[in-house]
Amino acid sequence: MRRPVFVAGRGAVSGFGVGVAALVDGVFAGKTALQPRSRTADYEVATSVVGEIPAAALEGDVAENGLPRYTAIAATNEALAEANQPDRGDMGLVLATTKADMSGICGDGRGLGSPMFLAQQLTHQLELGVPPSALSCACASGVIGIAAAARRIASGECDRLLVIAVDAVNEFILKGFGGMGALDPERCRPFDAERRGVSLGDGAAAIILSAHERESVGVRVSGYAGANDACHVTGPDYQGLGIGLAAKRAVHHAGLKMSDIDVVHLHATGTRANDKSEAIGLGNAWSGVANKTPPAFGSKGQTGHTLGAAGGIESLLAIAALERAEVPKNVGLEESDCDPRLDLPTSPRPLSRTGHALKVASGFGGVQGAAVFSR
Amino acid sequence: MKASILACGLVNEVGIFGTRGTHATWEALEMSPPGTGKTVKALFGKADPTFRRIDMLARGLVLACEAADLESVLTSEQRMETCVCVETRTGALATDINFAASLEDECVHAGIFPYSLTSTSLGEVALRYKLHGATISMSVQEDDAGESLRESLRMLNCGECQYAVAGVADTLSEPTAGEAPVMRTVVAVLSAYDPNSQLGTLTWPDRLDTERDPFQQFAAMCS
Repeated sequence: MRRPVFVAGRGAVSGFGVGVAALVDGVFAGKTALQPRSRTADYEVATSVVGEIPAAALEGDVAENGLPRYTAIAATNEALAEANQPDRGDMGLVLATTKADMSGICGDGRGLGSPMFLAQQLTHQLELGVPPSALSCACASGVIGIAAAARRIASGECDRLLVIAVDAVNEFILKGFGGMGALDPERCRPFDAERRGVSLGDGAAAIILSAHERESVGVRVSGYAGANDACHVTGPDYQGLGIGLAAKRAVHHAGLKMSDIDVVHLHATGTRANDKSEAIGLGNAWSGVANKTPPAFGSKGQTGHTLGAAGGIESLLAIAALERAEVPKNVGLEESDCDPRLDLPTSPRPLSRTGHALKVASGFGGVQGAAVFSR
Repeated sequence: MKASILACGLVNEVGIFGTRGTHATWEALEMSPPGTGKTVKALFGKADPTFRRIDMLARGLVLACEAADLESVLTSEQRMETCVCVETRTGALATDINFAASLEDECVHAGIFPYSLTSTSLGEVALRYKLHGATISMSVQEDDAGESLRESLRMLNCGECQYAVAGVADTLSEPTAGEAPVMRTVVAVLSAYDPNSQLGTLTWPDRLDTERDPFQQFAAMCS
């Protein structure tokens, strides 16, 4: 018997600033935090914008290498407040990130890109009583981290867990994506016919999961699943096999039918290959059920791709769509050249049903993750 | 929680070993661990044209899976439902440092950037064997070894997958950023618990929480 898993607290730091409200209000208003590069201006890469956390949102000087730790703590403090400061003595951390603390590789610090190193620092600083777990599943890390935490609560292993999904843009990451020719020179435009690549951004999300309904903010993690394209390590399967499999498995795990899903938050990077295959994969996942998917939106044209944090931040936006009974517009999208079965609103659209939201994510290595949030 | 052990593979500084009969030393192969572009062909008679291009972590994992004879142990249908869950302490440290060193160059070494993410190396395994289950790359320190086994058991026991390739992969061929060299990749092919399993049973918490090196049992099966 699987125990239900409830969302008990939420926190976020993004290009919109500190706080879930700043993130959600910004995204649902159709704004973008992708701005001319400031902190990262000296890095020679072929893009003019990044979704940097505004300097004014940081208390004091925070070095770039210190951003993952700083933003993780800030997001967690907000989540703990919403959860009414639960006892941390029996709370553990699941950290989801791509490269965590790179200070020893791109600086004079001690971080050697080990997620567990950062997880242990955060556990100590947050005075959590249970040893942490850490995973690095590329850009699907956040969703897979939520799944890993939910799995433990559902099995009865623990009653409460903190999930932190975090990453910060630095020279290593910018030049890595730049070297691969994956960056849009300007603001990314996921699913638009003229899209030219991804934009990057800083981000952190903290989500407290609990076995107790009395601690819930009114949302459950009702299903979760993973998959692998098993096709190519940096490019997607052109039929979107993996993302479709992950979506169907997560919906099945939630005990739902595809027709029960009311809204989808997409991976939506803005690269030609990702968006095309994502649209096909999700279109196939709903084939035989409906001519179109439920209304679907992405937000990387607003926050930038926050890498390991993306699955966390975007899960918060999926939940917000249920709470607001609205799908925000896909910023940057004018005309799609992708599979028309993917329903992509270009203006805000009310939701007639607000029961279940699906979040999907993909990453290098063919990694796919999906989670269902239910009210 | 319980799972059945179907097969194991081991790659270390001595050689490549598996529960299906693979037993080869690097000395006999006249190669250095974790292999060259010719290793897969020399040892398993298979062409693997991209092996020479993949990073050290991925090479260790691919060879360990070959030693476990993964392709024979699981049918293609079973591999559709097989997850990959691997833990690493050293991660992609050597790749990170190599890529970071290239940042000052006119053209960064973009080809190695994806391997700075350990999940990419797990993806090399998934794509070779068409493993379409979840892929999870876990980061550990010495005192929490066995995370990948625990996570695999969770997924197997709640029915999220039917089979799992679980293991540990640490491949640093020389001292790097204060980390000592280490060359060990161990994989175990696990299935939902079957009391008739020939090779053995993995249990948790009974044993996993008390063994300092939970992968030793798999390594012992290979040698």
